[in-house]
Amino acid sequence: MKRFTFGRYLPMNSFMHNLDPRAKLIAVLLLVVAVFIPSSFIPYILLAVLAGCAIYLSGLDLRFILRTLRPILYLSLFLLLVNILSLKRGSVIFSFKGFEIYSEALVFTFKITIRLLLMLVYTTCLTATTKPLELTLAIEFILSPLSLIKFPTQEVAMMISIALRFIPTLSLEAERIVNAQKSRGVDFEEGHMSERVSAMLSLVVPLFTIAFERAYELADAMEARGYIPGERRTCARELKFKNKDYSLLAISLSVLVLFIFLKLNNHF
Amino acid sequence: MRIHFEKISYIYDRNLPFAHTALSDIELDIREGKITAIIGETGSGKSTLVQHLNALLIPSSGQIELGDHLIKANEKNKNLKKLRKEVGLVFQFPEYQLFESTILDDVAFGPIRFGISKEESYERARSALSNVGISPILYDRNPMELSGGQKRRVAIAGILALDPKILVLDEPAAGLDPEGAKRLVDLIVSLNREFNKTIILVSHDNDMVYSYTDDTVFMRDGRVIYHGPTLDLFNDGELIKKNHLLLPTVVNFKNRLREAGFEVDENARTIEQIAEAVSRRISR
Ligand SMILES: Nc1ncnc2c1ncn2[C@@H]1O[C@H](COP(=O)(O)OP(=O)(O)O)[C@@H](O)[C@H]1O
Ligand SMILES: [Mg+2]
Repeated sequence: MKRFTFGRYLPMNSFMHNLDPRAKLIAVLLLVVAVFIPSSFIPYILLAVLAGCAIYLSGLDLRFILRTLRPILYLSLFLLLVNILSLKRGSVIFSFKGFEIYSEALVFTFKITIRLLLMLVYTTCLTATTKPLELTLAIEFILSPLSLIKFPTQEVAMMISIALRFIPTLSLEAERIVNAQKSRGVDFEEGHMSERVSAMLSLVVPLFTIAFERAYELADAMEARGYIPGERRTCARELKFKNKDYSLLAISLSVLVLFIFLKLNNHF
Repeated sequence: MRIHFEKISYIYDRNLPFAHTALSDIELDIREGKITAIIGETGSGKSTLVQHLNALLIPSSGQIELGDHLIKANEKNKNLKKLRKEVGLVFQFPEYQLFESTILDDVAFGPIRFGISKEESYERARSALSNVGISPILYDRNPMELSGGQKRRVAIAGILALDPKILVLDEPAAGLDPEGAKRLVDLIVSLNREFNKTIILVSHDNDMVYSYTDDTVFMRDGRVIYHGPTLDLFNDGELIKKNHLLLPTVVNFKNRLREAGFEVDENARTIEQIAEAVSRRISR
C-alpha cells in the first residue's frame, strides 16, 4: 500500500514555510471559493498559474504533488464513465451503433476535475508548509469572530487540528494492520465480494479500536498537562503579519473579487 | 527452507522529499531449524528487515531467496500468498489484528484465507490455542474481553494455525508482564524443539537472547554489524564495548564467579546451569 501524502507537514525551509499561517489559511479559503466561480476555461489558466507559483514557493517536489493528486484522477475516470452514460446534452461527438457520447459529458467532467485538482494543490501547499500547531492558531483566528456568540472557538480549533494531526498517524496504523492481515492471507486487491468484505472488516475493526484507544490516551495526556476545555489559553508565540503576508492576502483577495465581478457582468 | 539475503537495501518513501534509507547492503544467511535473535536499538531497522521475510516489503535493491521463492527488487512478485503461508509473521503488538467476534473464529480466519477447509481450519485453531495455553472455555468469547497477555497469545495462535515452516516474531514480549513474557519464551522454545520450526525473533531482552537463542543478528543504523552464534557475540568484549551492548545477567554473573575463583562453563546459558555447576563444585 502506498502511503498517504495528503495533509502531511514537510519540515523544510521555503518561502511558504515562513509565511504567517493565518495569511496562508485565508488565502487558501479565498482561492478555493474562487475556483468554483468561473464557468469558462480561461480563468482556470490564471488559477493554475497561481497553483504553480504556490508549489514552487513551497519548495515541494513535483513527484510529491503528483502522488497526492493521483486519487483525483481515478475519481475523474469514474465520473467520466458515469457522465458518458447519463449526460446527454450538447453535441454528439462520438457515435457507435446507437451509443452516443455527448460533448457536455467531457466538458463537465473536465471542469470538475480541474476544480478538484486546484483545490487539492492549494490545500496541500498549505498543509505541507504549516505545522499542525500553527494551523490550529490560524483556524482559531478565523473562527474568533464567532466567539462573540459564545461559540467555543478554541475548542473547535483544537479539535480540527487534532483531527488533522491524526490523519498521518492513523494511516500509518492502517498500513500496519493491512500488513498484519496480509500475513494472515488476506488479499486486499482481489477476491469475491464476501472475501472483500471480510478483508475490509479486518482493517476497519482494528482501526476503530486503535482510534478510540488513542483518543482516550490523548485525552488523559492532555488533562494530565492541565488542559481544561473552556479555559482561556495563552500563546507562547505571538503571530505577526508581515508585508509578504499582506501581499499574499491582497493577491488572493483580488483574484476572488475579479472573478465575482466578471461573473456578475456575465463575462464568464 | 533457505533464507538468504543478497545486498538488500530498503528505502522508505523512495522518490519523496522525506525518503529514508532503513536498510543498507544487508547480506544474511539464516540457519534452518535454529532460533535466531535480531537485536539493535529502536530505529536500527529490525522491523523493516523482518517484513522482508514474507515479502510485505520488497527490497529497493538486491534479492532475497526464501526456499523456492526469489524476491527481487523492482519486480512484480507472484505467489506471495504461498510464501506467506510458509513464513508466519507475528507483528509487534499483534493483538491489534484481532477482529472476529469470537476467539476461535479469529484464529481459524488465517487458515481459511489460505484455502484450507473450514473443518481443518477449526481443528488447527483449537490445537494452536491449546499450544499457546488458552483454555477452551474462552473459545467463544469476544477477543476484546481478554487481558493484554491473552490477546497476544490468541494473535500468535492465529499465525501458528497457518502451520508455517518459519515463524518470525517482532518483539513478541513487548509490554507483557515478566511472567507472561516467560511463558511466551517457553512457548517459542518448544515450537523450535518439538515442532522443529525455524524461529526468527526480534528482541530487546538480552537475557532472553543469551539464554535461548542460537544465533544473533546485531543491527545498527540499517546495517548488520554482527551475525553469528549468540554466545560468541557476548564474549566479544571489544564489540560489546564499542556498541554499548548491555551484558546479559548470566554473563555478568559468570564473570563475577570467575573473579571469585570459580570455574564456570563457557557454554552455560542459564542461571540454572550455572547453579548446577556451582553446587557440584561445592559438594566436591
Ligand atoms: N512506514 C515507515 N515509513 C517511513 N519510515 C519508516 C517506516 N517504518 C520505519 N521507518 C523508519 O525506518 C527506520 C527503521 O525502522 P524500524 O525498522 O521500525 O526499526 P526498529 O524495528 O529496529 O525499531 C527508522 O528510522 C524508522 O523511522
Ligand atoms: Mg520495530
